[in-house]
Amino acid sequence: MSPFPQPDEELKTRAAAAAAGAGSYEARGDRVSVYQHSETAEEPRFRIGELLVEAGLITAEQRDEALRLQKSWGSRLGDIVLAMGWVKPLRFYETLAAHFGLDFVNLIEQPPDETLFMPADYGTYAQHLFLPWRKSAGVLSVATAEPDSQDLRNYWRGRTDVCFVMTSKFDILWELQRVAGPEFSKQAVFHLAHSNPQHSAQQVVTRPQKIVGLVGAIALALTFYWQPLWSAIVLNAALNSTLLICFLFRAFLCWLSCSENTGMKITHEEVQALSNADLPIYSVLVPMFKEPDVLPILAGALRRMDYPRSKLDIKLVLEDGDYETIQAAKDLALDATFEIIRVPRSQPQTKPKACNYALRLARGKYLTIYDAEDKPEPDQLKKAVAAFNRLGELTACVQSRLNYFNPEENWLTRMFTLEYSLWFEMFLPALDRMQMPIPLGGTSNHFDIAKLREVGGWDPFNVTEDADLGMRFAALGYRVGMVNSVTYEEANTRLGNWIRQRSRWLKGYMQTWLVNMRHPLKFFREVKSRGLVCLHLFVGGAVLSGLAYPFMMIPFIIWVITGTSALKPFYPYPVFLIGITNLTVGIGCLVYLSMLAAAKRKHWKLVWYALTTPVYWFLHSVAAYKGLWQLATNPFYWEKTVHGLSKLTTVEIAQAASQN
Amino acid sequence: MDLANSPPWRLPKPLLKTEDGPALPIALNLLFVLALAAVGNWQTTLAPDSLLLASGLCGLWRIHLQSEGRSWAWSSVLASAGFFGLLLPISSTPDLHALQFFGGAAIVYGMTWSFAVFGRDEILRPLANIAFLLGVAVFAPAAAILSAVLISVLFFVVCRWKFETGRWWDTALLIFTPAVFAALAIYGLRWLGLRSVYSPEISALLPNHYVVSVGSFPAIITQLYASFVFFAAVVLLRLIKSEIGRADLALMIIIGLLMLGAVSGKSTGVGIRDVALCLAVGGAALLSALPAKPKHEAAL
Repeated sequence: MSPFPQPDEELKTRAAAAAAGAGSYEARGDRVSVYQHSETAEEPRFRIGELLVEAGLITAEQRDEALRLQKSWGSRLGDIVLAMGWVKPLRFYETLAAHFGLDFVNLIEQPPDETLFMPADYGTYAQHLFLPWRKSAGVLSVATAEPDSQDLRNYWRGRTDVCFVMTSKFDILWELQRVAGPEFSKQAVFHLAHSNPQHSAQQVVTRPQKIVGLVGAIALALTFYWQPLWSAIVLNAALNSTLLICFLFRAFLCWLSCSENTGMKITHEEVQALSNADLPIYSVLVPMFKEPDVLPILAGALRRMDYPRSKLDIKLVLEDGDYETIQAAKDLALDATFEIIRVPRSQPQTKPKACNYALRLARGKYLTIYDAEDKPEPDQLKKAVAAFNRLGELTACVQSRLNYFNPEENWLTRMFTLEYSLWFEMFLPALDRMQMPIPLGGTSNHFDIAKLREVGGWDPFNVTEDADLGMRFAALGYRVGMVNSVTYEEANTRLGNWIRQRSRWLKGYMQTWLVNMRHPLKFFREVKSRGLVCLHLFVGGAVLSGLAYPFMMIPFIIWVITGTSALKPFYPYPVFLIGITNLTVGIGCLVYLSMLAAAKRKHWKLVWYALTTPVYWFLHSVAAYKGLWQLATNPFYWEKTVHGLSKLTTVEIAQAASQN
Repeated sequence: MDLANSPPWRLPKPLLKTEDGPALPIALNLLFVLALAAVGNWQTTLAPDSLLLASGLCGLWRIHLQSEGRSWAWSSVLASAGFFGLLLPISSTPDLHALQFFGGAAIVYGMTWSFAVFGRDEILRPLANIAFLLGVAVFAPAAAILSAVLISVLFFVVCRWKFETGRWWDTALLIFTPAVFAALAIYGLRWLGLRSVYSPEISALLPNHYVVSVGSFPAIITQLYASFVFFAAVVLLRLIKSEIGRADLALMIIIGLLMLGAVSGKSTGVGIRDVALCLAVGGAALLSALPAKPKHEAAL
């Protein structure tokens, strides 16, 4: 006999549930046959809402509110009361067990028999919240947090030697991580490198690249030996021309984005038209490392999201040894929407590795990443869903715009805000419009989780895993879109911190360029000319301009001002023309495009500061050389950006802590 | 006749149709051009580079017209008429420095069009266009410099008056920064004495170079009859469609100043050809700036 109801019985069950007008937990009491092996199985007497009220776990008002939300959100009543934080999860699951007539087991106190776990099914366990618990007298006991789940039934369909016990979702996740953690960790690090080594940055430079580089260096050295003057002139002209093309390309992108029509716009009406009941589960990953102070702010920001809380699968992704942040997360006593994922220690200790780990535990249809100090606009998740609906099947990711909430703090934050405005308001929407690959920003990128898994997740060896992922999506034929929703972050207030962050970004861009240039022809066939232009002029151009800027500009400026005869031979008239154009058009572009970006964001007070952009670009060059040095000496090292340094953040931490 | 109860006067229907609207200036223009050609006013000395650049410019105009919502056929008709009727006669002057001249034409066109459409759907792009073109105009002939400066100053006033563009110096930075960079590049290098650098024809901007000679005006108008008719027809069309505005006014002022410059002799650096250029290119820009669809349709 099947442990599950036959189809006609199931229909009756559903009809009964519909007639009762209640959620699935409380309306499926007649499915006791599912739990036939449980010795304590008996038919539930009441709906779960009544039981929770009877047990004094929630008030009658909360029950009524939960029922109202249930109609709107289309979630189970239990998920709603848990998400609202009205009931302790342990007590809830105990009550739920009683409701279904199942035994409740605490997996921490009565851990499962690990030998029953099937490594190939770890992902299924995480997705559908069940675990093989123990086996006795030929009967396998399965611990589940969702006894009425269709997926659970499908998985065990046809098995007569199975019975179910109830446990909490957190116990399952905890035990799964304990048992499967090493495997998950290994997959998080090596899955891409093993399944798709061509796209992994595990090997920084491949042997053919080394040969090409070596031959190029020898050829350059020889030409400098035989013809030092002409070699210097040609090199000078080539670099200047390349830089000029990069500047002009960026100017063109900016001009495109000056139009109101550039970039996808999801209107308020479109957001309102979405039915909460139809919204899918949304996973939110928040990788954190040694950031206990900003946790309350993050929790507040995520609670303000305009999305059914019962459909949020928020995972605080913490490193195993980061006791302060883990303790801070526990102390906050967050509601059941939040889960703590502890990533086992392994190298490389990078954000993408942590995200890969958490990806294996994510249950949503879509997934997004926020940094600890992020403040997304409340309707961002809904806008992302609307964007996915509009863009169609081939869309793998939707990138939100990033900006800063503390632009006025000091010169560095002002310049950083200008740069981010330029990047996210001008460059990326224009790349989207031109259907070029979009190097993703670090956070607030919303993924179709199936496609993210299909491409192998993030590259843990690439320190700008986001930009790399954008290029990989393009190479595999997927599209990335931009959506008109902003996430506000904290701009770096300190120079050292800024250099660290920027050097990591530029090192990651170098990795991304090298990875995609392993097989240039293959890459060209995959992304066509537009993708190639984007990789070279946008990703490569950012690195090249950082590296070449002082090298090109300083001697030229010295020569223009002093007229020293030592440099004069290197600047014949054509090179001079390109140089002077670079100096004026290039720097003019840098300055003016920043002004336009400020105007687009209506940061009027920052327009004036755009005049200091050339100074900011010298810092960019410092970071570029640091990144280059690290690429050679420590390619996978993740330069941690310290958050929470802003004065505004300090104030908010105090406010959020008092609210929590 | 009972005037109070009479129906309101309406224009003939075909004239009001958007797609048919441009027929009026084009037809009139072609008529005059052919008439002028018949009496031998057509200068036939055509330099190959002028021919190439004139056709390139008209090709770009055709693309622009189509991108603005005109039909393929009408864009082609207008561009062809612009080429044969307006640009070719102007560009056939032997002493022409073709690249500079057509560069100036592009600047006048771009600035006029941007000023005309500013605030309709877009704000930032016209602003960026005008700022960029003003920067490039430093290298252009006198007529383009005059047009660019006048339009950008008016643009600044309009920005301050009707739109939120920050404090006055923020607006000024947004409009004038590229021009300042271009000017710095020129004058900085000249000051350093390192190279002989192109010198902008700023004499057109200096009022003391203008010596008004009223008697010369009829000669100019006669010589540029076709261009004047074209321009007048475009303005009339815009008036009928209630689209006339600041850009038309700016262009009329520019043309007036250029005519003054042209009659004042060589001291201003402005010639009759510059007036013709502004009439033709400015008129074309105003024609392009007419919405392809009536307002109520666009709103829908």
